Amino acid sequence: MDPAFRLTDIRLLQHVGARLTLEASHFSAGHEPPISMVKSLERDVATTLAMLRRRINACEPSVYRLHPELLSLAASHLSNKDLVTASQVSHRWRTTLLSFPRLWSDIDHVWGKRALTFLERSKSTPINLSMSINPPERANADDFLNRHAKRIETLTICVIPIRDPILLPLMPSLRKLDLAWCGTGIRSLHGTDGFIHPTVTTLIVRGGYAFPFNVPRLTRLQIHSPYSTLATTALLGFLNGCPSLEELEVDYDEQFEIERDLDAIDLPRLRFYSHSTSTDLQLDLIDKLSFPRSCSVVFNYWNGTTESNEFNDLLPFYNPSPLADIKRVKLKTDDSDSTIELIDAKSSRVYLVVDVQMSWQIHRIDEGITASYISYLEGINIHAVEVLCVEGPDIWDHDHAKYVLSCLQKITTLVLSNPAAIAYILALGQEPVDNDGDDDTNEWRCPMLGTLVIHAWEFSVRGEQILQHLPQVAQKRKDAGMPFESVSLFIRCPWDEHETVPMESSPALEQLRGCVEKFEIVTGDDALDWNMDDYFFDGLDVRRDRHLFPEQRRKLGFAR
Amino acid sequence: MVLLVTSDNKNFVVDREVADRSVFVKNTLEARGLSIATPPMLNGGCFELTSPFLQVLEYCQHHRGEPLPTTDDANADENRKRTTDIGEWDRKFITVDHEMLFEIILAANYLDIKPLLDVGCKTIGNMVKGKSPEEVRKLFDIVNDFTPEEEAQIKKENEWAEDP
Repeated sequence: MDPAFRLTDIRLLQHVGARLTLEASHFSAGHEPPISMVKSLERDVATTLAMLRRRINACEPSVYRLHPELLSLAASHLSNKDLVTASQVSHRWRTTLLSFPRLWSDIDHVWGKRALTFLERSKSTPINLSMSINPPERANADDFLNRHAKRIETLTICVIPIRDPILLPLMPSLRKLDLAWCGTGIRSLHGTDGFIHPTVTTLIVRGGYAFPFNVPRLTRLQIHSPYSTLATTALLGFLNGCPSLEELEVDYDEQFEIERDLDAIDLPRLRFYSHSTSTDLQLDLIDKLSFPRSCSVVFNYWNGTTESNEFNDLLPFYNPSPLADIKRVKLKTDDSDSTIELIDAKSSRVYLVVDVQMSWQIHRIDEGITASYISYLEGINIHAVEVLCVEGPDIWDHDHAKYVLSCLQKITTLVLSNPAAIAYILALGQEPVDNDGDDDTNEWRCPMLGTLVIHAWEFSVRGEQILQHLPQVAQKRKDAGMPFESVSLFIRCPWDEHETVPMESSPALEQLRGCVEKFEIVTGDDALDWNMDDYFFDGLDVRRDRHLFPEQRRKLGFAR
Repeated sequence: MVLLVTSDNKNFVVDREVADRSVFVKNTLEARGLSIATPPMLNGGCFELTSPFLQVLEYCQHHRGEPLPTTDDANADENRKRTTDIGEWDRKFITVDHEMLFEIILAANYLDIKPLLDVGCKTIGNMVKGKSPEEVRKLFDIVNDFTPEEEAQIKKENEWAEDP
């Protein structure tokens, strides 16, 4: 017999069978049994049915082939609410899920019954606690934290500023502390300066201006505090006590001048540094940090010409580019070459995005953002600008395209979007002329250019417009010994519908294929899948868990 | 190249890079210095093996050359364990019937291919997400087998289950 039927089950079957026979004889004899006896029989029958159904479940549903560890692994991806649901599906699911305390370790509403049940079910495993501290609940919060201090591994805490000091208890298992200051008012944990949390390796601070803890083993620090009054001097003092730091992400505005005589902070283990800011009033922090050469550096200046802005919280932290901060380059070059050296330390490359999506109505071309940025670039000794992205207005001055490219002679990769593409393609194919000619240069533009990406996602730019010039330009550059290594076309609106030959097999495209080593083309709505961020991050040594790499490029074997 | 022999005696010759997606195979080959591995005797060989193994190979082919998960990645997984995001290709790959899904999960577990196991488990998570217990039962052909005592307990549970 299958072990699913245990001896107790068999006995239960026999017992209920005998009772049913007995009660049937009572009924047939006209004897009405007491209601308590009927209820008892009903309970036994229900239990027997449950046992029989367990037997059915043991044999039939294919999901039961997953052993408990795998079921718990699947359940680990569920929210607390769905986890409760899953535990109510069947006896086996319930028994399994309740036998993995770790599944129940995320406690998110400490004042409810659910939290108490989760605390109970998580037994003695470390817990991840999310809580808010409001003035009315202050005493409860203190009490809760004190009672469970030993088990707290992750603490996400939102503090509404209150008058009395908050003293977090010593939490010997605490690894990650996520501290958010909500509302306005005093934003400091008074009386906790110097308090040591020796086990914390990750600290996230949102809002506020103080660093009330001493966390000597910190490896990851994130500070999200735009428009705060955080003082860089205070931050540096804090960083000085974090010699093990590996990742540092700061998102705040440096509004106070730093004390100039401060020594640089040595962060020998840092491998990732990211700085976002909405203003360029001060950019002192980076000057006072000493990185190892292998460190990846990402700047994001949201108030530049980028598409992201501080009013849209949904944008990813890195959006839209890892190095959109052209002003940053300007500022540093005014000082010294140190920034260029620093960026070079990453990978001997500078990632540069020029997003000149400017409005003709607001800026004149000779005094707008574009012109000033480009003139800054001219004076900078950039070894290789990896990417130049141009999203131009509908009407783009061809002479200006020539001027921009002549300022970027060392670029290796060029990404062109929409209408600007046409003017820039032409500029790339411009044959050299001497100084007496119309052109202002006697060199080919961008002689090191190897990778060309055209992302025409607007309907206004059609495939035939691109192919009208690009094959000839590619041929010219090839003949001149400067061939494109790769050309990628992402064209949403590929071809005039009246053309008899599809774009993919047109002579122009064939000619283009013959001029380049690698070629790819994606048309129609699939072309919308490509985006610049993917392209940049594919080449940047940033943490993989912050970015999903584009499947399509790998599929096409078009790894950068 | 590596020769993989399944429990139902089917031979597969694959690139070493592809075979190495399986930590089990990788370790086996490294330990024995061989180029032949007999990996899977899944679940006591109670089901046909070739079919899920072909799927697993397709997955390994597609993800060949990618870095294998490290301890750091495991920590990151811990941080985002509640997410059920699956990449586009993986999502299409794992869109199979229930039988095949469970076999792929079992194979990924046995062969120690963590990313594939993750994709399979997330898929189950996505199937359960937002459903009621009855809907989950219907989805997986499970019969409600709770005793009256357990039902009473669950009823009590539902008083707080809807807490925000």
